[in-house]
Amino acid sequence: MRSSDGISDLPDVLIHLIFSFLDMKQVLPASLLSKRWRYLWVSLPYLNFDELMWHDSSNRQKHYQFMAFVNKILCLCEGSNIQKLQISSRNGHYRPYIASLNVDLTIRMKKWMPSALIHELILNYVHVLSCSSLCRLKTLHLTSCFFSLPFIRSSNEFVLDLPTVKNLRLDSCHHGGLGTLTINAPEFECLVVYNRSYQASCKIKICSALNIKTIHFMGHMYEDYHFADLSSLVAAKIETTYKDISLKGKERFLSCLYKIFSGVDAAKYLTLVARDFQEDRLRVLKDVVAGILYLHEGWEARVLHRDIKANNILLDKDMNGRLGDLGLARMHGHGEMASTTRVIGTVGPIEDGMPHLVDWLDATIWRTLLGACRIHKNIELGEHVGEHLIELKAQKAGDYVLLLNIYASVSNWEKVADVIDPVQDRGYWGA
Amino acid sequence: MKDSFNPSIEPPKKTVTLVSSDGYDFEVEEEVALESQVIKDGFEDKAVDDREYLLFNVHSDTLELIIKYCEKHVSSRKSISAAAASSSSSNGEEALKEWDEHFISVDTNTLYDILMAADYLNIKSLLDLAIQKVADTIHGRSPEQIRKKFNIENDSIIDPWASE
Repeated sequence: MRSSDGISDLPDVLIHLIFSFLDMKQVLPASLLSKRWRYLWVSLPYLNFDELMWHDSSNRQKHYQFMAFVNKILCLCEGSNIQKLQISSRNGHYRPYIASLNVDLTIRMKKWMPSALIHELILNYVHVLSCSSLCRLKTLHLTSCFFSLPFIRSSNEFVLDLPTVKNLRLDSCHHGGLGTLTINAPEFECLVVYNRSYQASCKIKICSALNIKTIHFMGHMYEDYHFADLSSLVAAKIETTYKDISLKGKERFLSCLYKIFSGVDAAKYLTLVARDFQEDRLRVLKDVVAGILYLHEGWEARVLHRDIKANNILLDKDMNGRLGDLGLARMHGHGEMASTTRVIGTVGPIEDGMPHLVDWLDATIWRTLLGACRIHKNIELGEHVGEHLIELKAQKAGDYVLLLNIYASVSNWEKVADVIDPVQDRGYWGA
Repeated sequence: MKDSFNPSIEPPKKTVTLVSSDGYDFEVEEEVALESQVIKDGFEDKAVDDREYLLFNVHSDTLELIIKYCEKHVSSRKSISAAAASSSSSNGEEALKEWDEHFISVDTNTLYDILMAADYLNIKSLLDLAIQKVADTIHGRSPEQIRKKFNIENDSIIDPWASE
């Protein structure tokens, strides 16, 4: 099965895969290798075009060459076979004049793309007019792209119609001149928006996203947000840079946050990461302290909260902190000595964290846990905790009594007897 | 729940026998064999005492290389995750990358065999590595140079690059 001709004997699928790692400008010369390689590129499912390959793209002539190259290849390829198309034009990035690549591209796409199988379209530094004719498109990544308004325009609203797109990523796109960016995507599952460099001065509007699962906003914010329906959302993450310290900017920022979060009733995971947010953090802290002061001194009875943690601090739309969840609180009169003999806590998923904790827990904590096991009748965990206490050689009669009580509470008398025997041997009963 | 408390106890290591196209047996750990998606897919259907795979398309020389690759990746993945758990800094991933690079620096015929075998066994990381190697070789070379590199005979009638 060894061949002297090596690479040439690879099946088409593998050669296509090799080509998918290369730019089209390198793929074409490879077609001159031999007859075997001649027409392989025509049925290529993954196409990459990068203007950087044409070097010195500051030269306008080169830019037109690149555009012509892209259009020609797209014409010649069997359009129905393309699954993934990546086009990186570098020109628009620093040249103010509008590259016409996009216009050509869009026309071309309209011509043959309805039959195309493009699943994934990645565009960098390209002007986007419309993608609605790509009827199989699942993934769309737009990096540093421009949204061009049509020449005859009734409003400054740009509508991105994406009937089949599931994943959309907008990375550092330019919204210059836009009033509203409207995204129509009924199949949406995942939306990632990243504004790296500057605040977008337009509104973003997402219509009819009935299946949307995750949204992730990063970097700078938009002017305003409109979401039609976010009831299907599972996870929302907002990672924002917060630099506008003017009062107006702050107000707007908070109202945007509130708008995003107010629509997400059913989401399981919400994450908010705000940088440069020290001042507000300090204020929340002050609010919490004020709350505690009131509980301790301000009311007719003295209230000990006993469960202050991040989870129990709620924020309203003005970012005021409120202390909530008084489920473990205790109340007694002023001047009374507050004392408590029991360790209390709330039930949580302890099993997951357990293996990591084993090494540094001491006997007191194990004993507390054993007490909790008794209350919640968790024999399995109780036995395990008992083993650890014995391992630590710190066992006291009380531990055995707790373990006994656990067994007794579920009427497991055989086990009760098992525990009593060694205890009697050691003469604990007398102690 | 009990299991979560005894993370250190591992089940005894199971092995799988891989048979190459020229009839040699290779006994490897189950974990190593499962790097291949094809073996993984077929794994559930097989009886426990009959874990033998006949790989008709893989020559023993190639299989030896592939097993070496999988073993390295399984073991270094373990050491990387162990380093991450103890939060000690390690350059395990970089070392692995270097090892990969060294591993894939082979002659064209071997590269061809590895490509075919990785595709057949569906080992994604190895396939990517080999393809990247070929792509890197093509990158920036003229057809004439590529022909020379890969030993491809030029049977085209017209060759516009010939005069250059």
